[in-house]
Amino acid sequence: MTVAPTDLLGLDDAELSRMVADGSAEALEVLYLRYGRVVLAFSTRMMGDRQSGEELVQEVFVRAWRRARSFSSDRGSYVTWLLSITHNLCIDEIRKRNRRPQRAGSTDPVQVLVNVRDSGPSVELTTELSELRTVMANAMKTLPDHQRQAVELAFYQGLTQREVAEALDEPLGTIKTRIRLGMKKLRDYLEEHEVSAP
Amino acid sequence: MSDQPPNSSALKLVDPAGECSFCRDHLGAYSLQALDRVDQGLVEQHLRWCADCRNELVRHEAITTGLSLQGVDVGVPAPSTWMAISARLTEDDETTVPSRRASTSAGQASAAGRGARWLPISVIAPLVLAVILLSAWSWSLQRDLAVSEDELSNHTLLNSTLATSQQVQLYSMEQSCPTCDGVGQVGVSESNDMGMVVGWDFDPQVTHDVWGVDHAGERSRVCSLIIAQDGAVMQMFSFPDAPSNFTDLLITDQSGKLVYQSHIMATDEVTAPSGSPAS
Repeated sequence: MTVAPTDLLGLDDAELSRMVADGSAEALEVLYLRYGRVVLAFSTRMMGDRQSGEELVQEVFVRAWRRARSFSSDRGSYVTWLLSITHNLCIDEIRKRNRRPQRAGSTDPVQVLVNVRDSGPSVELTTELSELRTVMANAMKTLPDHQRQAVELAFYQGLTQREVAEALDEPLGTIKTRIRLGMKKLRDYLEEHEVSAP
Repeated sequence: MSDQPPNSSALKLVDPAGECSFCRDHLGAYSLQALDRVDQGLVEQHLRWCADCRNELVRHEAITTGLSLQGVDVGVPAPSTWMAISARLTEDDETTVPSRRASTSAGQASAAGRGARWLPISVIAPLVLAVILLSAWSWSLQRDLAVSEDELSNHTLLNSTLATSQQVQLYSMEQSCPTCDGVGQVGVSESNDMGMVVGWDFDPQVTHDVWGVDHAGERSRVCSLIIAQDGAVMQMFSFPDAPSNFTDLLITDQSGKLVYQSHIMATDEVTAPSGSPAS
């Protein structure tokens, strides 16, 4: 018997992910409705243009379908898992193309999650993600410019530390130190504000 | 500090505390995926056995998720995006997701079976030949191995379970490929300079290369894995030189990321008592 996606809107992510693992494309469609926008925002930032971002969204949800059995809600939320897949695929694509998209931070980030609630994720999760997004943005502002730049180049442009060093014309050791200290400061800031990955 | 002491030279660091220190210094860059291949391999190797460092890695998850949420809102994906995804799911269901097929209706399974009957002979013939060859080789390996389960348990490596005679070493990939969840076994036969990979659940769209690392640390590409549509790998390969000239066997994905590493033990290492360092 076919189930319409609208019949599944009330289910939580864990239940939907189990259904996806059992082969329900309808359950994946509901998760897509919930998180397609967040994934697109991230992939567009990583890839530098919307078209590439849309293509990446396809790849992310196809991979989420193929690897559905490897997701465990005990280890974290579905959206965290999706964003991790997105990052991996973007880095693969960027390195494959051997091109560099727009500089991270060249466009001011705006509220991504403002309409997510309309598509049905829980209020708690939406609040958690919004809080993490806000605290993270503030945490980045506390970093010295050179540390923030190194972290952003690595994360958003998929550069290795060596490539960051070449791009900035700095010694590799300097970049390693900047990333290490930057990440430590970010971690301490997030823990101080008691936010964690959902 | 750790689940168990390392039993491999792969990390190149003898002192476990030193390994943790090295790992933690690099965890931030590792979570950003900014390490080069060598450092990434060393960190991954360490994480396999060190629960403390794995817990430390979890502390970085909020950072990467938080960074992922700093995207620029460009609205919802175009309607055509879901249509394209949906079409690919249908394709997958018919060709590459056998585990799901089992849970679908008998009618669907039957339809998939009908599709299989139309595979061209040019595809089936090499597969049949490969199965015959592998079966013969597998029988030969079993005869060479001739080791009991107790003996097998006495030869456990950091990331691999070793079953061996003087001719053959088998390593099982205890952790799945971080890129595509593939798992399986790697075999090395010193007697005929041959190797073998048998695996499953590999992503056929991700290229995987097999490399040998010689005593000077130089890598030589051995082959690319041929992954069937259902994710299975059954492949034999020849080493470019005698296996004893290699210290490690690596598998990398298409981005060059290290997904599996085995220290190839020399015969004298193989017969060492359980628990003694392989290096």
